[in-house]
Amino acid sequence: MIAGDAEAFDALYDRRQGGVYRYALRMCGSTALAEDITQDVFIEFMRDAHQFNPEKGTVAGYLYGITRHKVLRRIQRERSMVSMSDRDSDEIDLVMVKPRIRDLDPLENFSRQEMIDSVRHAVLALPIHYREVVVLCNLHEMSYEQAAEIIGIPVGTVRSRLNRARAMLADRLRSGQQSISTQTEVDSARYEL
Amino acid sequence: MTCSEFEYMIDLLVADELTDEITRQRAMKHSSICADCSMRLADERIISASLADLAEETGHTEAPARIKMALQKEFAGMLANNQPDMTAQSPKNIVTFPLHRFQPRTVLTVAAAASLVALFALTWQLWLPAITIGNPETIAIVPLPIPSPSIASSVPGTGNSETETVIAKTEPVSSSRRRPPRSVEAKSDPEMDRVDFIPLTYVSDTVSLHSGTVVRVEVQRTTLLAMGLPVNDSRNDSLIKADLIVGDDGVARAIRFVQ
Repeated sequence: MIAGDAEAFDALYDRRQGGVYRYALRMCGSTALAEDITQDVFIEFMRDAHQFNPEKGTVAGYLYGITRHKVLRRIQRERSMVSMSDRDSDEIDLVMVKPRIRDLDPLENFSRQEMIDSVRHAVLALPIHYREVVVLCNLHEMSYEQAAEIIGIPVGTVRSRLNRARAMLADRLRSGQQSISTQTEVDSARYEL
Repeated sequence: MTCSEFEYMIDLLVADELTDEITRQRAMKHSSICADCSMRLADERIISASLADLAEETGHTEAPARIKMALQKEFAGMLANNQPDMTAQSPKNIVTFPLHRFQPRTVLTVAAAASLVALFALTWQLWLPAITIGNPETIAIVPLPIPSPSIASSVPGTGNSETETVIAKTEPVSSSRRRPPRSVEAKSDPEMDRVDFIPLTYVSDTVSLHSGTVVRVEVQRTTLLAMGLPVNDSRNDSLIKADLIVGDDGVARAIRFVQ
């Protein structure tokens, strides 16, 4: 690719674009931002490909590093994108997750989808340094070591952040379920009246 | 099992990766009697399952095809432009500073600071006076026109020797000295140097002096009197500081009294 082989670039893009795009999407929660970031990442990579040193890490790790840097900059620039808890579920929910048809009964499928949406919103509402460990370790199924390399922190810090992030997720999900159940009780009482 | 021990292995328990059966049974027993840990285990299971579902749901999401097309276009454009950073590896020891990574405010600040420094340096150079840079040990030989009457009259043989040689010493001035003091300028004046040094007349005129060394010495007044120099003879035992110009042949050629 450094020598100008277009086919090599295509092959690299086909292999790595999914991970980069999903990472950006899961961090930002916006398809438009994720597309922009993905494009920027590969443009930067094709321009500065000679800076990649195979002895220091993998191509995937290098690309994730660039993506993380761009995501953080975008999030800092557009603070309004950070907190998803205050936003209505608009295009993000529509595009980010296309519900896959499963062999479940409709009620079970609905409740499962509802839980996934709740978790997605809870992840997006996490502070950024907790969010990234959840995204890398739980959603991208990376090891603690890989996540530590990408973020640039010790493995122990990744572990502790992940613990804390999961506890925060549990709190948010619990409070969300409580509010839903409270709303259901209110609706039921109103119906009985 | 304590709650902290349970907390430590809850990940393995949820992921069903706790291979030790005894430990697993102890953990499950603890969760059955501890309400907090039981709730924590249930939360962890829900979160793990939900995150796994979320990862599965979004696991096949890919960037739109138009991004690939745009990148292919960009790549072809770079090849057409034959950008050096793409087709040739840059040396590792060259550090590049991509300006697009900096905020415009930072770039402007750095540019303004650089301009100020350049302006200051230019002003400083214009303000500096001309500085004579010389070797401290270098001396120049200039023809003696007419010595000062006060000295020439008191030194034998110097009164009528208009062509006699006298040695003028160029005072060294450090190049690092920004503004030379007035005293240095006065010492650099050739007229002042001519009256400073008194030629020692016992040296043969045929021995010309091309270069020499200035040596500071302390001599007795009686010695100076013996050399025919004008000194006060009432304090013969005291020492007088003087600068001698000694030629390469080791013979003193001129003397200057240090005040």
